[in-house]
Amino acid sequence: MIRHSQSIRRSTTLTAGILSAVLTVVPPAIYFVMAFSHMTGVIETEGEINARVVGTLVVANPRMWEFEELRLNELLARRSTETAEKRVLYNLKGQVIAESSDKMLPPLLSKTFPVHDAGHQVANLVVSRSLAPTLMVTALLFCLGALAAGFTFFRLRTVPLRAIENAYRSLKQSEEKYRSVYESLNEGLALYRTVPGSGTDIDLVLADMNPAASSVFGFGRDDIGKSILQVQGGLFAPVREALQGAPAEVSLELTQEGAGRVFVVNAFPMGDGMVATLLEDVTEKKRSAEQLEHLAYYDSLTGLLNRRMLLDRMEHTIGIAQREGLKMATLFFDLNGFKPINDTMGHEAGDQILIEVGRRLKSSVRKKDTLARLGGDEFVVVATLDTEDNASCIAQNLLRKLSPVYEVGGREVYVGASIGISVYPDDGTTPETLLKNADIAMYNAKKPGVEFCFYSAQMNQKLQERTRLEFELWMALEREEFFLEYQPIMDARTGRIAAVEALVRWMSPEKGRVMPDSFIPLAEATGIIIPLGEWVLKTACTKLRQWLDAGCLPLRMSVNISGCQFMRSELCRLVEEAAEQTGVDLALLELELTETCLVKDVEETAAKLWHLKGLNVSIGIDDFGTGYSSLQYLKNFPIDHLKIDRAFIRNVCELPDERAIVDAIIGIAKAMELHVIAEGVETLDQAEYLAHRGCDELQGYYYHRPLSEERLLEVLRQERERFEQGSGAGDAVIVGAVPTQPV
Amino acid sequence: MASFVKAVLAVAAVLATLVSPPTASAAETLRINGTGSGLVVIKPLAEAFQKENRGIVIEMEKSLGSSAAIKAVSHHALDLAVSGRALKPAESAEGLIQQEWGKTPLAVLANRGVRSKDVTLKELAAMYAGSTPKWPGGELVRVVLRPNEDTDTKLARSMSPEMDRGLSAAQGRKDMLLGITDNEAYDFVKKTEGAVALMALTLALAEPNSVNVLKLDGVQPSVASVSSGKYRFVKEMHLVTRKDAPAAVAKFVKFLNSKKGRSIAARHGLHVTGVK
Repeated sequence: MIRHSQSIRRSTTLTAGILSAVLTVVPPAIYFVMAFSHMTGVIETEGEINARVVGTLVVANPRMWEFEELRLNELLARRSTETAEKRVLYNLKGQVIAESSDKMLPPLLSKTFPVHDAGHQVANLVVSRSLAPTLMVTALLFCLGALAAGFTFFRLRTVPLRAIENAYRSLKQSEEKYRSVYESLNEGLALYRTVPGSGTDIDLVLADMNPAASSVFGFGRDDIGKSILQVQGGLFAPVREALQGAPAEVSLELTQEGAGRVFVVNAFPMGDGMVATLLEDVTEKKRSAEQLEHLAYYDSLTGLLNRRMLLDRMEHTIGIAQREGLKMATLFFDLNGFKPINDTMGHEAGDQILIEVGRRLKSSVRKKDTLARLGGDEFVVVATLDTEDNASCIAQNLLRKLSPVYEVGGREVYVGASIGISVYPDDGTTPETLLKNADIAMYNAKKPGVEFCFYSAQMNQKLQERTRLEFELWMALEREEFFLEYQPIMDARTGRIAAVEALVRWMSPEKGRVMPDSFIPLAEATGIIIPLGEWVLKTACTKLRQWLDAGCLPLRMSVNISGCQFMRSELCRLVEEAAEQTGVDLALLELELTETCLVKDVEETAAKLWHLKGLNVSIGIDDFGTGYSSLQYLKNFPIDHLKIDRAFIRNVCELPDERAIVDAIIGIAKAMELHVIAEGVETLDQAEYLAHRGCDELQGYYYHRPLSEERLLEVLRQERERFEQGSGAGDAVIVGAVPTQPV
Repeated sequence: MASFVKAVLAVAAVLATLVSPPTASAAETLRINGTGSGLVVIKPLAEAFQKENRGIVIEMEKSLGSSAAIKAVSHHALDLAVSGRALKPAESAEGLIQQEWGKTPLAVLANRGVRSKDVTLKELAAMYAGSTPKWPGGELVRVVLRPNEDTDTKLARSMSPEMDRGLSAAQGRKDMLLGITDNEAYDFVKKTEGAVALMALTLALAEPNSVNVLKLDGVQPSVASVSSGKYRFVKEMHLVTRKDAPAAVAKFVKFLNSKKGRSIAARHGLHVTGVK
């Protein structure tokens, strides 16, 4: 390139120099030659004429003419132009006979003309003119030409050369840039020169390589000049074959036997008979890709297909079923009893169970069937079948395989499964729909005594209702559609309102007033119970604080705590926040828990209860007698009162068994110094009996239905007025006198 | 002192030559040339002289002009030069001697076709200047010039400032007729319609009726008007010879100043004034 650059520089300089020299020299030279020629012509003409005139004078007086100086001078002075001139007439001895001379600058151009007399030369006339003006104009033209030549030289040499230099500089920078890229490439780049091979084939001879080609692919400088068949033991020979008759880019994947390395070779012609091969060692990449693919499509724990791959396979199987007119069953497994094992024996035990379940299922399904784990304890089997009965057979067969005992950590455990089945095309035509419907059916199969269940449209409807209700609950919470009612709890001894139980209600814009039984289970199942319970607790505390501030007599506020809320939420922190925000005395707050709350995690439950107790909160057991009714937790937990379930109160006066249970509960409570509350008191007999048996407080329609805040405050006002009037009534049991307006 | 002696001896020699009688046996050749206006007077005088002096042959070539003739005398190519001007110091230094011979009117000569008889100096200057392009008779004025260094030109310039300016203007014009010699100029006047020139009257008298001699400012140019002083513009004639000139020269010069010589000269337009 530099050699070419210098050659172009020399050629351009030479051309520009020649042209400049021509411009400098030729115009003045032409002018000079023409002017000289013209001057010569003029001198010759003038001289000839003047010589003839002089000759006439000579002939007129051949002997004496030399003395006629004045006349000769006059003749010599006869000029046809104003141009300065010198005319001198010499005799043959060279003596000046006559002269007519203007002032002239040297140098002079002179011509001699003979003067004849009768055929004999008698004198010489020398006519001279100055070359100075011609030379001055020539010099001026030379200067102008030199200026033009300088400009021309600049334009012809400097400008093109500068452009060429810029082009070369750009080219060099570009080459350096690409050279740096070339040398810093992680991929190996080997350049080959094509040479004619045997017959019509072409051979590739290694011309250059980048450092990566040397370091990564083992090319050596010694390989330069070798045929591609000789380089690297002929590893890249297929490139040569692929390029025969293929002018475009070719891409090959080559495997180096023994080393286990995989290369991708992209070969492409570069023009000028060169071929570049871009080498990339994709061994690791392929390995990673395979791993990634495995991770992407397989469950890492069991090695079964994951959801994504399952959907792909289902798509594929649906295609087959569609073409062959078959049905396809999607069996959705959910393990029963897995969660307690996972919770009690740890995740490792749970993982072992899952692996074993996967293994057993895998050994049970046909090769053409698809088995996948969706996550958690959910498995799916997809199988093509002729009739739905086959699906039942498959489900039963799989359940049989799963039922045998599992040994985990030296212990034997049993794991069952519920299976929901959806069938293509009856229950859906897309993998997503079939999976969803199988899932719905699986929930139905969770019912006791049911092991597997086929999907039906009703299931979906219920699910949709459930989903809609869940949405509405969330919206209700957001729109503050929930409100509280308060059911008074009467002191059996004094007949006064000792406490009120806060009961949550929902005023739905669409459904109107909705009772808790309709939405609390779903709220618990969906977790809405957590924010809802928080709202109830804080609202109840706020109201109590307002009532007390308004002058009401102190009374306790009883709030129901869902088992879910007790276990999942930070109940203690919540209670502290409520006390702090509302300023209510926590001694007036009662939390009612169900028995099932207490038995799930004994240690955690005890810790929470003792914490609450430390806050001076009263803790009661709601619906006592219907659950575990464990005397152990009555002993170990800081329980303040028991609330006898309304089921026992309803027939307490009529059925001896019921009465015995109530008596026993009251007896135990008294023995353990626990406060006893009876709910669901609807008649005077029930009230009198319970009071008589020592029940401390009574709650029920006999006294008050759940009241709105305004109504409760009215009741409280009336009660206060009544007691203020009859404050001397003493401590007599007045169970029957209190209810004035049972609602 | 030595130079003075030399000069006296030289003059004595010349005078001796002039006064010595001619001898028949001495066939001397006397070569005479000079201004054309002088030679036309010399010619009849030479003929008369040769009749009286058979041993002397006078040769007269075509007129060389005053300067050439003086140079020729200096180079011994002539024996006597008739000059229309006095010697220059350089010429005198070459040993030449001169004597005044006479005066002839510098007359206005016009072509015979010109009907005018009279012209004023002012009109003549206007013609030379080109401001009067035609004669009163309608002919175009064609001025015949002489070389700038010629005696006649110098005399014409000295006639008046207007003439000097007129001549300068005429010299600058390209269409002027230029007569190098007296005879050539005279031929132009003679042959060219409307031509006019200032020339010696001797030329016109040498060829009677060949040209129209005009009065100048009302004065007819003639020997009489010159001798009387009425005609102011004259051309002097000088005789130039060497100190060692042959005796025939002196003899001829003596003849020129003789009564006969004066008479012949007067008839041909030259008023001989003699040696001064």
